[in-house]
Amino acid sequence: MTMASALLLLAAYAALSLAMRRHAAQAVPDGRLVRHEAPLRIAGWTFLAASLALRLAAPGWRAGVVEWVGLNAAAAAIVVLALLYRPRWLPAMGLAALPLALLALIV
Amino acid sequence: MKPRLTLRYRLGVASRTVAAAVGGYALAAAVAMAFARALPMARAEASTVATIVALLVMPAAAIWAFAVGSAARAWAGIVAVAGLAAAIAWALGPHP
Amino acid sequence: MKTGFRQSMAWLHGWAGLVLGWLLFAMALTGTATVFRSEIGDWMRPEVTAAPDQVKATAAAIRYLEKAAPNAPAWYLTAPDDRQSTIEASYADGDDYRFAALDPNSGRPDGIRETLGGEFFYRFHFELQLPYPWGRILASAAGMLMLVALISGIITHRRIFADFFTLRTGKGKRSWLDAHNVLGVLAMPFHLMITFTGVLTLVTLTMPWGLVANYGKDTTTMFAEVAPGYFERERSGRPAPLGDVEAILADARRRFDGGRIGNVAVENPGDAAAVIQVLRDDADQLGYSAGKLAYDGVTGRLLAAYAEDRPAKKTFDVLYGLHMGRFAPWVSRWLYFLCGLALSATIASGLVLWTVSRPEGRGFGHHLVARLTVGTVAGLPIAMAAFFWANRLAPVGLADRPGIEVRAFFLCWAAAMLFGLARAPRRGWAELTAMMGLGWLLLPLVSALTTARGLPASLIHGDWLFAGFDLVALAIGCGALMTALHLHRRQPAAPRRRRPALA
Repeated sequence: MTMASALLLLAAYAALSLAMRRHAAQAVPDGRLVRHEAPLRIAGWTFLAASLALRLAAPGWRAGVVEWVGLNAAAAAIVVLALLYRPRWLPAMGLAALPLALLALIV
Repeated sequence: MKPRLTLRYRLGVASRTVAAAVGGYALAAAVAMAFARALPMARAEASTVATIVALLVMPAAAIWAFAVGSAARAWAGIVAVAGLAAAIAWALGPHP
Repeated sequence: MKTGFRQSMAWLHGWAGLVLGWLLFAMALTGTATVFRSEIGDWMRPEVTAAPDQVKATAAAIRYLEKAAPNAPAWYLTAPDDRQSTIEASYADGDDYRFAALDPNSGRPDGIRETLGGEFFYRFHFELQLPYPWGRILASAAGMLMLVALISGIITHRRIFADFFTLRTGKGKRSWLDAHNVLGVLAMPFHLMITFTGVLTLVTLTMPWGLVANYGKDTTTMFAEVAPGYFERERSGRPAPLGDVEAILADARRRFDGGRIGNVAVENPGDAAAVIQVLRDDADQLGYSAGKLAYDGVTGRLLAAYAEDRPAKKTFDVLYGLHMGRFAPWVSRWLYFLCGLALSATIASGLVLWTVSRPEGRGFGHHLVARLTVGTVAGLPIAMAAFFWANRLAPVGLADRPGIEVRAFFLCWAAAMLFGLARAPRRGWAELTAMMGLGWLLLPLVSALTTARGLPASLIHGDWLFAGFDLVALAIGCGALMTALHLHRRQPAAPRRRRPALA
């Protein structure tokens, strides 16, 4: 549950950052992401909410919320580092996180 | 944008700092006493809530002391609310 | 102040951060170390191996104390758990307070090197090595100032959402501002929570007025109402030995419904009115100090049982528990650690930012701040490494051995601060960071040479606590050395000036 929740957060922050013009330009310099600003933002917030819902569904929701808040910082930090060192990888990272999250739920 | 470091400016800053630190603490203490006595719950519970509220009042007072237009207004506001809270606490007497 | 709201908040943020910035950095970093206080305690006592059963271990400790401290008014013990192998016991001995770590298999302190362990960082974090109550008052004041700095920082950060992910390197002052902002904003919920709850843990000392308003000087009634479950009774004067302690503790664990025992207090030991208070382990739930049981120490009869369920007190206990972090399972624990590092880095980057953002009139004050920052910020991690080196190198059985480790810590920190004052900041940062790197990188080697639980041995035996500590030390060492190298390479050639430059 924690793993799936964390991966969804990674996808969420990747999406939210790529919804910003400055970071979209870093990741995809030819400007193809500009059309997708709104869908990316919606997707980002949706993944964020889904991540929290997953965490609340597991038993021990109080400690779960605390963990979730901390995971937000970690996921956002990973995206910041990705934008700094490997911005071109960010869209792939965000996309890959989704099936991995599903896998983490099933396994 | 930076104000000139005149004596008047420095006194204003000093005044606001004292208002934030000393006045803010006194305000928090007065609010704690007022809430502890006024809240309609068991007295141990009221004291607990009052303490948590007091911890929120202190930084708020400090922010306010530096945001407001003049040092005089900072003092006025803090003293007024602290006085009101103290009066309420005094009037109510300890929680039964 | 005729300037606008944002500008006055920017001014407030700068000064609130600067006034006690070095102290706040020290509190943040030692607080971060305290997240792993139990594990550090175990690493610093390599002679100890864990016992399988905490009830048997605690009972053995109590039997030892019956012989070692029969005249103490009370003994306070912390039961061992999966994070800490030893039982920590403290008790009054005349006017002094004794603190001992007891072996979980024998209940005795023999054979364990005397050390404060992780307790040192824990105490320093909120007492600042100052006598009671001044350390705690200063720590509280610093915490309150930190809250003001956080709030004013949020207000003044104009592009808090637009700049959320922005980190540009190689742009001097702009990069420092980006780093300070990113570190502060990404973990902002943690920063606000830990600061507010931190001040909250000290309220009985600093903001008792809510309690005084309703209880006046009647502290007995106050304790009885606010924190029920502590069963108090006077000594009877009739001596009587303690009963079957193991049975009492086992019963307590049963009543905790699969939970674990945390703290055990034995009051009036050796007297007919002895009481054994058992608290549930704080690792079992978010609320601090939940679940209290009191037993008659001689007969083993249950005298009182209490579990807090009043909303306001429960909220207070949860807030307290959030700061202590004892509830945290390993993922949350590491997140606390990383966020604590982020907070320390936010404060440190703020101090550096202050020194690089004042181009006009760099006077004595500015240079002093810059140089003090080097020694304080780079010196503290060096001092922490020195503390661990002393633990491995100081001979066992030496008088006041814990004092030697503590002195090593402060002497190294002081030396680093003097070094920072003497060297130009550009060189000072690089050189002290290099020393930090060496100090941490070589620590696992020192440990492997002086104990049987070095990194190769702990990896082979799956001893994750020891292996983890050594691996983190290696990571810190490597990171610091890489940073030192980077700083060294970026030194510009000394420019020719007509007047000597100070920095």
